[in-house]
Amino acid sequence: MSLTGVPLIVVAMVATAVSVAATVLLWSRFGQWRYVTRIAGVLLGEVLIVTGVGLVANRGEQFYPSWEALGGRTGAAAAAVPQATGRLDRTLAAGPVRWQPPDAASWRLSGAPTLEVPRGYRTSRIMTYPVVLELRGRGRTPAPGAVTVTLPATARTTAASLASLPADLARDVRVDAQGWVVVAPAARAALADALLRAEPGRFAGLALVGARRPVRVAAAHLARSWTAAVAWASGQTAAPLTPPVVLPRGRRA
Amino acid sequence: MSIDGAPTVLLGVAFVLATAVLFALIWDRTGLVRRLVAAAGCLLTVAVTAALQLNRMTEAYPTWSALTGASVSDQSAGAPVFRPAAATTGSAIVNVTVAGPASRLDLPMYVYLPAAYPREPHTRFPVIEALHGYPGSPRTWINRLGIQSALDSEIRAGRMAPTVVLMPYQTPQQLLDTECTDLAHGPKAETFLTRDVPAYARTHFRVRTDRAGWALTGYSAGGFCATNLALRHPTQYAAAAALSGYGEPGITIGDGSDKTTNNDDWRLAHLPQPATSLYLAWAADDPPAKREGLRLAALAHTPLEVTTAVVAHGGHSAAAWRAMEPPAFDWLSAHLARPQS
Repeated sequence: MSLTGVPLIVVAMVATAVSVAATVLLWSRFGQWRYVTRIAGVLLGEVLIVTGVGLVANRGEQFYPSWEALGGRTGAAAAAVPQATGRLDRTLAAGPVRWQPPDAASWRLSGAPTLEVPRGYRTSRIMTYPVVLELRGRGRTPAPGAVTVTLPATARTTAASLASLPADLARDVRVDAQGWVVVAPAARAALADALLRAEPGRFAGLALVGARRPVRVAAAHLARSWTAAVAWASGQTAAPLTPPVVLPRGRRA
Repeated sequence: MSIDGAPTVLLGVAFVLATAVLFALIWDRTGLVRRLVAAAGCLLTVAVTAALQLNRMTEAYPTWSALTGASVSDQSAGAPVFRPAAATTGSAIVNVTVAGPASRLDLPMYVYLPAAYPREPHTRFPVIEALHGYPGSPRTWINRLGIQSALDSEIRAGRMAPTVVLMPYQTPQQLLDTECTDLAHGPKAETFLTRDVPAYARTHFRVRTDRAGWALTGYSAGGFCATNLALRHPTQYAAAAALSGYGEPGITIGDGSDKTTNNDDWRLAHLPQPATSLYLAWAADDPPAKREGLRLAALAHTPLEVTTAVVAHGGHSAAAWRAMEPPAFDWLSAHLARPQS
C-alpha cells in the first residue's frame, strides 16, 4: 500500500474511529482491568490521530513519497569513479618529455609539444591532476600540482585544430576533465580566447604574459613574467584529487 | 535541555503517557470539569510532543529562546565559540555572528574549519556557502545532515580539498521564508549572503578572496538559493550545487522579480547565461525537484555547464540529502580552486 495514497489515509481514519469508539464503549468494562484498557485506548487513539495528520501532510508535501524514503533507504548508487590510468603513467620520466600523440600533426604547431607531470604524480597512482596549457614551445616553467603541457602554437593554430587535444591528453595521463588554465603570450591572445569560448566548461582561466591593456579578450589575468603567469595559473586550478563519488545522471523518464 | 535533543522528545512522550494514565485513573473519582481538563492535557501533550519531534526534524527553532520570538541574532550572540572538534579528524565548527553593514542584518553563522586549517597557518582555503531549507536553520546541516562528518570523510579520502564551509542564517525570523532574496518589504537576505557574509569571511578567516575559490550549495529552498545566487552573481561564485532545489522561489518577493530576475527558468530563457557550473541533484521520487531540475538542465546552454545527479528514493527528506552530500562536495571541490599557500 502506497505511503502517500488515499487508501492508507482511509485505513488510518477508519482505525482512528474504531479505536475511539471501542475506547468509549469499553470505558467502564473489565472491572479492575478497565484502567489498562482505558490507557491503551487513549494512547492508541492519540497515535492514530498523529499518524493520520502526518499521512495527510506527507501526501500534500511528498516529503516521504515511499516506504523506502521513510526508512531512509535511498538506493543511492553512488560509487567512486573507476580509477583513471594514463598510457604513459609507467614510462614518464621526471621533467618535460616530448609528447607525441597521434593527432599532433593536425594541431599546426611549429614543433613537438611537451608534457610534464607534477611531483608526486608517479607515486600517487590514483589522483587526477588539473592541466596548465602553455601556448609556447620554448622555456620550461612547470606548474606545481598540475600537468603542464607546452604547445608551440603558430598563427595558424586554432581552437578547432586543437579539438582533439583533450582526448589525447586524457588517454596518456591522469588529468581532470575541467578546470584547465591557459597561459599564453600576448601574440596568442586570440587563440587562448577562442579556446575558452569553445570549451568554457574545460578551460576555467587565462593568463596573458606581456600584454598591455586593453587586450582583446575579456577575462584574462595579465602577468608580467611567464613565471608569475604560471604560478597564478596553478593557483587557479583545483587540487589534485582522488576519484570522486558520483551518482547516476538525471534523465527524462 | 536543548529544544532539539532526543531527551526533550522522550520527556514529551513521558508526559503523554502520564496524562493518559491520569485521565484513565481519575475518571471514576471526579467531576466533569476535571475530566475535561485531563482530556485537554492528553491532547496538549500529544500536540506539543509531535511539534517537538517535527522541530527536531527541521531544526526550525534551534533554541528555546527562538520560541519566545527572539530574533535569531539574539540566540547565539557573543564571542566565537569553538564547538568540540571531531576527536579523530581535527575539524571544528565555529559559531560567529556576522554584523552586516550592507544588509543591516546581524545574524549568526556556523563555520566548518577543516583539520588542515590550524595546521597550515599561511594557507587561504576555498569556501563553500551552505544554505538551509525552509523551515530550517544552519543546525539542520549540522544535526540532521551530518555535514561535519561528510566533509571530514571526503577530505580525508582525498576526494575533496580542505575547504571552509559557511553556514549562515538566511532570515532574522524562523518562519519568514526569504528564499535568499532581498524582500521588497523585508530583510535583504541576498545582500547579507552575497556581500556581508563574504566580507566577514574574508576578514575573519583565511579564505580565498577570488571567484575561483567561492561556491554555493543548499538543500530544498537552499538549493534554489544556491543556483539563483550563482546565476545572479557569476563574478563572485564559480559553481553551485543544489540538492533537491527548485527553479523558482515560490514566494512573493514584492517587486515582481519572483517571476523574472529571481526566477531561474525565466533567467535562463531570457538573459545571457554565465560561464558558471551547476550541479543539480534530486531524488527520483521527488516529482517537483525532478521536474524543475530537468527543466533547468534543458534550458542551460554553453557557457553555463550543468551536471545532474539522481538518488533512487528519498523524496524530499534528510536521507536523500545525506546521500547527495558526498558526491556534491566532491563535485564542488573539483570545480573550486585549490587551497592557496
